[in-house]
Amino acid sequence: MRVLSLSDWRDLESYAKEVAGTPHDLLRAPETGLVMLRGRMGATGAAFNLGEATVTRCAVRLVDGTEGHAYVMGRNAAHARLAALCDALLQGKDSGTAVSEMVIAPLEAKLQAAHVETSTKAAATKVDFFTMVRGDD
Amino acid sequence: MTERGFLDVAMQSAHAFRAIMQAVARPGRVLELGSDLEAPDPLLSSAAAVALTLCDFQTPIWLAPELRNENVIHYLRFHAGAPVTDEPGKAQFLFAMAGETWPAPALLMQGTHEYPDRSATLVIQVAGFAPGDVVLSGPGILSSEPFGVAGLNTSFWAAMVENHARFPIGIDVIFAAPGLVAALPRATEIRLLESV
Repeated sequence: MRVLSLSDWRDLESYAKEVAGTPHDLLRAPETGLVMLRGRMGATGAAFNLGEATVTRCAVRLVDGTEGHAYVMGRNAAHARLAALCDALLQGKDSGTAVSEMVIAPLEAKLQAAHVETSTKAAATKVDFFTMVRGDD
Repeated sequence: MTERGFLDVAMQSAHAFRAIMQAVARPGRVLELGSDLEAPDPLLSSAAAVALTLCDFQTPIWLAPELRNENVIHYLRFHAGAPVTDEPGKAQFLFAMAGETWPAPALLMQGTHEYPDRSATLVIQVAGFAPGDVVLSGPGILSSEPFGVAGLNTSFWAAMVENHARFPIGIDVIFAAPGLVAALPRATEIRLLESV
């Protein structure tokens, strides 16, 4: 689910082309709303409202009754729908393996590569601060 | 398996709301409530439309034993986000079937004289409507309106007469038949016909 939501819509669309044709019902048509993000200072302090994020959610049902759910940042209804469809297919034995290989694996590789690239770039700019120990007077 | 709710939530719930509002504004008049949704057995799709239109996370729902099953509870939680309660006295919406048992209207939330809106709404699933039980009059009715519901007995109507006597507090009733809806708000005067 993390891979499906975080991936770029164009990537998901191109890898999941064959999946998109699977017949399904919309249990809950894609709808966009706001969720309140909560945070804690230093991950330990009291919770506060950080801000709101736009989220689109969708729930689908396959012909055999399997349900798939998806929450995706932003307003892309097609993204939420396709992610929900992949979620439903992933629960099936054969379809799950197929979707894992065809969609999830390449998307995960792309996400990982992007993560490595940003970390490398960030790491290159790292500065080690140090202070010379001053002798006492 | 979860049943599908409204396909186009904004439009269809607005249409359903319009039908319910008209029904409450014109007590005893039977209106069409066409709804494009699936409802889990034994919930009627018209009763499901009422639930998905009027209920949300702030309105606890009570279900009669005949309607209470996992599918129905899951359906209401998933689509309406509404909590399902065991205590009829705490529910804002109650769903029951005609001819079966349900808690006496006097035991439900009646509202207070300061806040008469803090009261319960009873949604009764019925097979159909057949004028002949009672004659209604009062707000929203020009002179009088003959009304009757299949499968409801004298004790129900007697309880409704009592309910009207408590006005402005009391409960409101919505009748849901297949594809149809009618309402009996607490403000309506009820005259029982002899034949019942």
